[in-house]
Amino acid sequence: MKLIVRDALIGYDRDKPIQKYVNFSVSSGEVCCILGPNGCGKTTLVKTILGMNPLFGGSITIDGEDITKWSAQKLSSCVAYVAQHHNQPFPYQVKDVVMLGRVGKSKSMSGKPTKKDYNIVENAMEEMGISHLRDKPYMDISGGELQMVMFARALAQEPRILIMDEPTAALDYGNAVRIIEKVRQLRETGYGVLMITHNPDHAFMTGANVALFMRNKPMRFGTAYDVITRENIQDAYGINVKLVEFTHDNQEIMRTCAPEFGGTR
Amino acid sequence: MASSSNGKKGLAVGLQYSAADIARLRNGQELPAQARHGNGAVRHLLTLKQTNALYRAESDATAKRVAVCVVVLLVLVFFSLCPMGAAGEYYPYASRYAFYTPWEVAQCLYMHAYNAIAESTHLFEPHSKTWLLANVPGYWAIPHRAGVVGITLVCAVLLATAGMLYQNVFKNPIAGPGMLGVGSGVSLGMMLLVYLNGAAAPAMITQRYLYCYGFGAAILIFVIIAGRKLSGKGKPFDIVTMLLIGSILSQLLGFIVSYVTLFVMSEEDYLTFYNLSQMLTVDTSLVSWMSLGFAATISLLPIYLLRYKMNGLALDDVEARLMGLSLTKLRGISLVCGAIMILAAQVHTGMVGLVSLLVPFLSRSTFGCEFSKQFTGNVCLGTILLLICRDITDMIPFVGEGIAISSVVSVVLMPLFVLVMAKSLRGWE
Amino acid sequence: MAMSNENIQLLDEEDENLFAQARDAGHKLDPRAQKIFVLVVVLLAVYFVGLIIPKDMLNSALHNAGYASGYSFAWFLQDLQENVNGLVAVLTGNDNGPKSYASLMIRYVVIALSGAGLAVCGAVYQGTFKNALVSPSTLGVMSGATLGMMVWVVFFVNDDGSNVAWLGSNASNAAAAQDPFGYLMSSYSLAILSFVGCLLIVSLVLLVMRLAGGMSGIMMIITGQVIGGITGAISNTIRYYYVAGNPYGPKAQLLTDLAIASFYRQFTWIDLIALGVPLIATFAVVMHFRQRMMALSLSAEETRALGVDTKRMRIIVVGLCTLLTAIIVSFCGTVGFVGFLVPHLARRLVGPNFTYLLPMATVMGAVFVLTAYILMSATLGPDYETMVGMFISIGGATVFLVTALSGKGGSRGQFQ
Repeated sequence: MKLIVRDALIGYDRDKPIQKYVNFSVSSGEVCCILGPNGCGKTTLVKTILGMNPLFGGSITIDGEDITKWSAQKLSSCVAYVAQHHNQPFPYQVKDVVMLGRVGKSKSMSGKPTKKDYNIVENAMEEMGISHLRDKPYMDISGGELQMVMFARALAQEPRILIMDEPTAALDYGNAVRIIEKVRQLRETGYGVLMITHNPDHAFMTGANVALFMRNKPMRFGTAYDVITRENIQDAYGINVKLVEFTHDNQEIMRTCAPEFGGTR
Repeated sequence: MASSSNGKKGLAVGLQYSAADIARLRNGQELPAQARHGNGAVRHLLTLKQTNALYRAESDATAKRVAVCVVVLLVLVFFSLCPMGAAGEYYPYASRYAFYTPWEVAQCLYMHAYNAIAESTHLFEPHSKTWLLANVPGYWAIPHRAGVVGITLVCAVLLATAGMLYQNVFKNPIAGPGMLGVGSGVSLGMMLLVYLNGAAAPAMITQRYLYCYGFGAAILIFVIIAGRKLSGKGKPFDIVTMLLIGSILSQLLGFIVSYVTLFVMSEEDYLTFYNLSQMLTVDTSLVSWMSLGFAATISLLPIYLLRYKMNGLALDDVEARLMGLSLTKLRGISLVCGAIMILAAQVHTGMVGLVSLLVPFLSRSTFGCEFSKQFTGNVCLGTILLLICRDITDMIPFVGEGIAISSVVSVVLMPLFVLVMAKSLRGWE
Repeated sequence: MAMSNENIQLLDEEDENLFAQARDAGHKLDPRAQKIFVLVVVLLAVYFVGLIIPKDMLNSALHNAGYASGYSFAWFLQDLQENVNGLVAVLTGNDNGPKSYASLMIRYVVIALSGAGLAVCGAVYQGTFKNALVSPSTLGVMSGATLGMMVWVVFFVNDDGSNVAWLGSNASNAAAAQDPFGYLMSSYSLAILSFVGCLLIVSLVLLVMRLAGGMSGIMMIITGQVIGGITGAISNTIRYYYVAGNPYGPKAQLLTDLAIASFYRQFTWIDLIALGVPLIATFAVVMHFRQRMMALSLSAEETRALGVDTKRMRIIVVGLCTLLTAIIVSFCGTVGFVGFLVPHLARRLVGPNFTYLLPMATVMGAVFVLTAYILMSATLGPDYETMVGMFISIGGATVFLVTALSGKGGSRGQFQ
């Protein structure tokens, strides 16, 4: 399954688009990181893909079909969304939270979960490694585990493509690394992941393509090695970085960005 | 960076989980590390049967709780039939504090059943009425008492469910179901009835329901339309605006009603109004049952049918829209059904606000947060609590017609409230 | 500084415009402060108009008592002239008696103070609890006062209705000056008992919250509502007991009247001090804490990091406001709706910034209640003076609903 965004005009108003001529794609088994400074339209882009905002130009297609014409249910069977903020007023148990991912898909009027639904929920939790938390109220678990629960909920929808809005934003270093590890695992399992992130290193860690947005220049799209260069980071964020390449003990080659302090900007 | 599959979940389905693993899952323990591949993906998937086994334990637990509640309820209902009218007379309000022993109650029930079967199947002769009057104490008072109990049970379900719905929709515990002003509409109807008809009002049963339901429904429609009109181009249903309008309207009507009942009507009329509005004597006529049944059906049925989709109210607007759930539709149905429930409950039992506030808290902490479980819990716990309060109300001797049930409910449920707050505080932080 | 608060929307652009206007206009007053100043002038104008306008106009015109040709404009002018003379006499000389101008002036000041105090309390509650639906009666203070009144009627009133500190009794400044303590005890027993009732209810709320182990805003509100409901139920039951027993007896009548009555007593300089000092003290304290109270809208961690001790400050502020509400309700009776509506209106006019909101709410509350009172007494006459609180609520709610419904439908932020 391939999601292609071609020449899209993104914004809230037709006359004042936030981003023009957005081009990128995500397929199953790929990760695409959306990078860029604050306020340049990353979340707006995601909302446009999800159908919350109108698309003022260009096209967004999945396997060739224009998804702006799709119903929400059809879209939800292909694409799942993990939001940045989670706010629930009641101490639902984790398995009920994950079950919420199946509620919208049910054909019957009452939405009663079938045995298959329970099975899918259990397997989603198992994939995320949180099965042992299934009966806990979601407020009793840590931030990292909560993010896993939200991933499991997205997986319970049985999508092909996952869209995540800054999944590591509020997490500590250990949990953030664990989340990135999960993203790698999802990629290998065959999902497509579209991830908004603030850390260019994530693109290297997940072996992703990068859609780099900038404020007043056209966006760049390509592999992480091509797009995350010193010049592009300077254009997008206004800081200087040095790109360092090294080899892990397991022979995996990794690049990372090291910011430079002092000197002119 | 090669992708290893064709886009579906290509996990290797290896060994099945052992019984020990299932037991570990049930106890909330993490599975050992060898259950996973190198990259963290799981080795096995649960089969349908294993999932069923996991969930069956849970539904067993719920069924056990429901069974306990049903048993308690049956005992309570039997006990409620004990305070009946004067011996042998079908006169519900006379000597209401005469008690019958459980043996006499059982005898009455048996005679009722005997006569019912006899009259319908003609297998044997029914006992004559004079014999029953002479020999079976309280025979005629049972239908009335059973009617009171039945109406209390139905109203309890309505109150508890309305409270749960409003707490789910508003996520604001102040917004009780009375907030939309429906209850004040009922008071207005009662006041008009008594004002126009004076002492004849208690006997005018059909008009009473007409006035009360009519005004309550009118207020509800007014608040919905006003809320819609004031919402502007943002959302079609601005909830805070509706709450504000409803609360102001209920204050306004409350004050009008207070003024008219306390200063314009004569004292006897005030007493009549107080009796009617507090439902000091529950009306068990056919009209009452029919209207209650109708209102309960049209309000409870949609909620029951949608009970799993209602969980979606916990979702964010964005996520819900993406999943194809229309949150505005769910919220709208919840509000309207909740208002109808409160309307019916107030007309038939008087406004008992604490039940709507408290029982959802209780059922959430004992039965669970999930909507269908909470619904079951509300039904079970609400009926038990309100029936206890009804029995206490009917047993306390007081001037006039007795204490209003709302007073008793408030006092009785207070310690329960403290306990509940201590336990489930974090739900609202 | 933007506040991300769901219930109180900050009018960001409007603030920008206002600041730009103030900058460009040089050293003129901030437009918001200008609004407050204008309202103070309006308050003074209403006060003096109220002092000289003839009372009982509508009543006289309707009942036509004793006037041969009805209440014509000539009579109106004559009454007006008399009133002005009386006012001038009091301002220059001395005038004693129950309905003299000195008492009337004090009465109006006390009424204005009560309105101001309730509005301030409402604004503080809505800001502290971050909930647009709270009012001073949320914590159950009003029900406590009612309960205190009921207890007073049950235990302190003789069966023939004597010992009633009602409007008709002979309270006067002279009597107050001669034997303050005795006067206090006899005339103010009702007020003292109401106050005790309020304090009891509030302590009960705090006790329940201590037992349950939580001091969060939401829990305080729920507990207040629950206990207020219980107290209301008990009051209703007591009233029903007396009314059912002897509907026309003086105790029943008294209970009925007290349930709704407001401003039912003769006010003297003791009331002025009893109301004025707490109001000024509370206002000063709350204005002192205003920056920190606004910071309460941030998350708990941010607030703590800013150096604001949330719990203690909330206790102090809410406690003071509750005390003030208790005093007002004990001395003046139940005046609903002011504490709920006036902060909303004030917030619409000057925004949620406490520096302007609190003074605005105070002055607006005073204007609101005083105007309503003068209107009521001018049109309906002295028989209905004790029901002003209720009429304020009815009138205010009607006006609010009518303006809200006939206004623009697009103003979504107006109720938030």
